[in-house]
Amino acid sequence: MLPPADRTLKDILVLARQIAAQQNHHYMGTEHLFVALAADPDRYPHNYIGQQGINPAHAIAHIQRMIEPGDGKVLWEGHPHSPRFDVVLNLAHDIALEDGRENLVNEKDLWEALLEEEDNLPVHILRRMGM
Amino acid sequence: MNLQIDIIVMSGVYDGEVYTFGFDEPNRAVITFGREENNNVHIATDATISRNHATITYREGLWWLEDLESKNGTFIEHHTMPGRDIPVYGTVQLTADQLFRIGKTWFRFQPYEWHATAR
Repeated sequence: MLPPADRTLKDILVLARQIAAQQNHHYMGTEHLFVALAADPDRYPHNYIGQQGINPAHAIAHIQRMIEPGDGKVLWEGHPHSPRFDVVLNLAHDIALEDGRENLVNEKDLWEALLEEEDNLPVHILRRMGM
Repeated sequence: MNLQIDIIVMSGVYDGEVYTFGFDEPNRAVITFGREENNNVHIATDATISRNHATITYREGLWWLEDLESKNGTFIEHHTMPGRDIPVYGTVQLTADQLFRIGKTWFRFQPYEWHATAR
């Protein structure tokens, strides 16, 4: 049985932003969202990946090898979301809404939205790894 | 024959943006990448991209990616070992859905082609 998926949108976004900062990235992308969702072995996305026969730590390592750390230069204002990140967020809101939870997006919604968007780099890597 | 290709940004602050190009004459199908604005795909936010970094061209029914002796290189994805990117020395053939990296920015190559209906 998969563990609960009750972390809130805010929990995940804060974590994703920390991950982006650790990488010296001054934006939020699906790669940061993926790591925020998948890194914790006690959570739903990590176990979901494991059930597909993929080692979640290997998937995260692949992503982090492909997305190199930033060089510290900031060429824009603020900490914007990439266009794809916003697509995934909108999909997660739709999934929550369809489930009768307006403005109550949880980590399972975000995970399903990431899979549904399907053209993002993390899902591309998971497919390459056999998902 | 008409050609269309989508170049989809796969990483960085522009991840998800799509550049669409159409060509009525295949022998003129060239797409340029670089940090300078005169390129078809110019990514000003990646300092590892050279001013004129790479091109994609269509020749003899195939698409080719060429590195223009850029400082930080052009790479294609290693299919079985993600993260072990393969450097492009000179020119390599691109296939549909191929991921390639220019500087630190990943792109996906999506070609379409069709024959115009005679009227």
